[in-house]
Amino acid sequence: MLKTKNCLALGLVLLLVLGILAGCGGPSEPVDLDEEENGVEENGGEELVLLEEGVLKAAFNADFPPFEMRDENDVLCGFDYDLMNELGKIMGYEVHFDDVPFDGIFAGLGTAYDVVISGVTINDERLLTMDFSDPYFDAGQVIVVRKGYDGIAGEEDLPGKKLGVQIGTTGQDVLTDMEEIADDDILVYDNYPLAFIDLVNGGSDAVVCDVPVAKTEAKRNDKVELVSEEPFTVEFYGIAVAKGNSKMVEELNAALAQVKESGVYDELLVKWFVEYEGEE
Amino acid sequence: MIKVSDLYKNFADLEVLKGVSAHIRQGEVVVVVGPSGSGKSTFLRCLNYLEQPTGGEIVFEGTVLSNSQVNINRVRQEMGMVFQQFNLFPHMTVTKNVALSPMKVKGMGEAEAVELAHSLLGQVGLADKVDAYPGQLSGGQQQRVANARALAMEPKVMLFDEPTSALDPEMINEVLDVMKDLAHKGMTMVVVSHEMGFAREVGNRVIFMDEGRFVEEGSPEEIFTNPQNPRTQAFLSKIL
Amino acid sequence: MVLQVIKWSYAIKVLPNLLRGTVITIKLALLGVIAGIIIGTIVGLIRVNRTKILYQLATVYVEVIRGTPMLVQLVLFFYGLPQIIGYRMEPFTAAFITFGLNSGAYTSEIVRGGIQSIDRGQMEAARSLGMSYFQAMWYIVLPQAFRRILPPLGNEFIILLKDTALASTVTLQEMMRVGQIQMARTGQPFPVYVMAALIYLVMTLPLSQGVRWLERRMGAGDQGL
Repeated sequence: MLKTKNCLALGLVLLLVLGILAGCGGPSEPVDLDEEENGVEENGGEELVLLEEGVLKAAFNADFPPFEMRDENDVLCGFDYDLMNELGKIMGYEVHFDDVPFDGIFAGLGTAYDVVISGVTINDERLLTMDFSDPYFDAGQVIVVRKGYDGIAGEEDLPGKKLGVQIGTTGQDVLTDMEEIADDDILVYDNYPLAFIDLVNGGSDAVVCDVPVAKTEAKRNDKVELVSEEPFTVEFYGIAVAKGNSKMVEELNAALAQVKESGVYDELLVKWFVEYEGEE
Repeated sequence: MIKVSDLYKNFADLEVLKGVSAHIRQGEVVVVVGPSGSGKSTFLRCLNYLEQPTGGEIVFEGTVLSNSQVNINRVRQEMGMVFQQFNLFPHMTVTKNVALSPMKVKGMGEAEAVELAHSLLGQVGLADKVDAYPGQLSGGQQQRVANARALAMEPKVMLFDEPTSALDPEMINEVLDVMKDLAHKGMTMVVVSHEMGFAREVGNRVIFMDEGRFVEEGSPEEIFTNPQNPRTQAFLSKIL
Repeated sequence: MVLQVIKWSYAIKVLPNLLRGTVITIKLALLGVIAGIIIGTIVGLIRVNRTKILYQLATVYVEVIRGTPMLVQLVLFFYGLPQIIGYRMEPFTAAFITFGLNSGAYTSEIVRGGIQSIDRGQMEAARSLGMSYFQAMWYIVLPQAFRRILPPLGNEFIILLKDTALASTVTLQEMMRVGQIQMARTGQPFPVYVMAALIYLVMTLPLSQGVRWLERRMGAGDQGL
C-alpha cells in the first residue's frame, strides 16, 4: 500500500517538474525575443543603470595569466584588471572585482555583476546571449606542446591527438567546431594551469589556448613550447555585458577609445606582455 | 577423559579461577553448583578454550590444550557445548542450524547432513519443527535444538552452561528429560546448573564451587544430604 | 537592470549529451561501490579482529581517507602522482581508485559496526562447534551483519553516485562535466543544471526508496533473510 502511494507521489512530482520544463521550453522563445527588443528600445536613451550605484561590478576568473590572476600575496592583478580600473576611472565609477569560475561566469551577467572582463573571445554563439564592447585585444589560438615533441606542426595535425583546453574557453569552442576532431579527444580541464600540468604529465599531446596564455606559460615553464607564435584562428577579446544593455556598451566603447588614444593602453601592453615575466 | 590441573583465569585485575583441578572420566555426569559469580561458567568455558586460561593445564584425551601445535577447532569438534542463551543462528532454519557444522567442518554431504539433522531433531521431539526458524520456537524448543546442534558433531563430551536458567519453569522438565536421556546413553557431561533434582537423579558427582575454588565435591547424596563445608551448607540451605 | 532570459528549450537540447555523461556516472559509481564493498569488508574484518600491525595499517587508511577531502585525493592522484612516480593514470582509472578507496573506508566502518552489533554468543556458538574463525565469520556473523549493513550501504551508494561529479575535475566527461561544457557553450546554467539535477534525482530517488524498504523489512525481525 505504502509503496504504491510513494511511487504515485514520486511520479506526480516528476510529471509536474517535466511539465514546467515543457511549458517553459515551448512558447518562451518567441516571447523573450519580444522582451529583448523592448528592452533595447527602453534602454536606448536612458541613464546607465548599475547593480549598485556608483560601483561598476566586474567579474573574471583569476586563473588566466597574465590577464587575470593573483600575485604572490594573493592580490588580484593582470592586464584585464588594470584595463578595467582605467576604464572605470574614465567612466566615473569605482570598479569592484569578483573572482568567478569561468564555466559559470556568464550566468551572473546583469544579476551579480555588470560586466565580464576575463579574456572573453567575441564569437557568434556568445553574441546570441550577451553583448560585447569593441574588441580590446587580439588573441588568436595557438598550440602548445611538450618541448621537443614533433608530432604536431600545425592545426592540420590536431585530429587524432589528445588536446587539452580550459572549460568554456575559445580553445574548447574552436576544437569542438573542427569536425575532424573527435569529442573524446578533447580533454576539458577546470583551468589552464591544470591543462598544462597534464600536458607535462603526458595526459595530452597539446594544449590549445590564446596567444598570451601560451606565451606566459612557455616563459615560466621550460617543459613546454609553442608550435608557432602565429595563431591559427582569428580571435578578439571583448568586454561582455548583459544582452540588450546598449548604454553600457556605449560607455565602455567611449572609454576604450580614450584609453587607447591617451597611450595608457600601450603602457599596459608593455607592463604585462613585455616586462611581466610570470611567477613560479 | 579431561584432566584439569591448577587452572587460573584472570579478567584484567579480577581473579576468577584460583587454581582448580578436576578429573572428568568417561561416561561421568559432573554437575558444578555454586553461587553466581563463583566462576563455574568460566571454568566450563575454559574446558573448550572459549576462554583462554591464565595458568594451569587442561588435558583432553591425552592432548594438552595449551600446546600451540594443537588445533583447537579439532578439539572443539569433540566437545559439544550448549549455552545459557542457546545462541542459535537466527538466520537459518532449525535443520540448517544442526546440519551446518557437519557440512562445513566435517565435509559431510548436504543430503546426509540434513538426514542427520532430522534424526537428531526427532530424538529431541522436534520432528515437526524442522523447517522453523529459531525465532518461531519457545525457549524450551530452542534449548533442545541447541542440544541437537551440539550432538550433530558426535562429541565425546557435552558441556552445559546453565541450560535451564533462561527457561520458563514449565519448560524445564522437557529439557531435563532430553538431558537425562543423553546421560542414560552414556554421554560424558559437565553441567553447570542449579537443578538439584537433575543432579540427584543423573549426576555421578557434584562439585561445589565458591570464589574461584572447588570447595567440596562428592556424590550427589553426600553433597546434598551431608555437606561438610560450612559454605556448602550455607549455599544449599538457601536453595533447597 | 537587464535580467538574463532563461531558455528552457536548452534543457531538452542538452539531454542526449547529459545522458551520455550519465552512463559514465553510473559506471563509476557502481564500480566504486563494488570496490568499496570488497575493500570495506576486508578492512572492516581487520578492524574487528585487531591483529596488531594490520589493525594499525587499516586504521591509518581509514583515518587518512576519511579525514581528507575526496577532491584533494583525486587531484593528487591524477595531477600530482605523475610528477613523483612518473606514471599517469587515465582519468577514469584515477577516479575509480579514488572512489573505491573512499567508499572502502566508509564501508569498512559500516561493516565493522554491523559485525560488532551481532551478539558475541553467535561467534562463540560457531567456534564451539569446531568452525574456524573465518568459517564462523563467513557462515554465521557476516550474513547476519549483512542485513544490518545493507541500508547504510545503500545510503553510501547514493552519496557516491552524487560524489562522482567531482571526477569532472580530471577531465572525465561524466554528467557534471558534460553539464558544465554545455553550460559554458550556451551560457544557460539554469536549464542545463536543472536537467542534470533531475537525472541525478531519477537515479537516487528509487535508491533511497529501496533503502527505506530494506529498513522496514529489517525492523520486521530476524526470520529468514
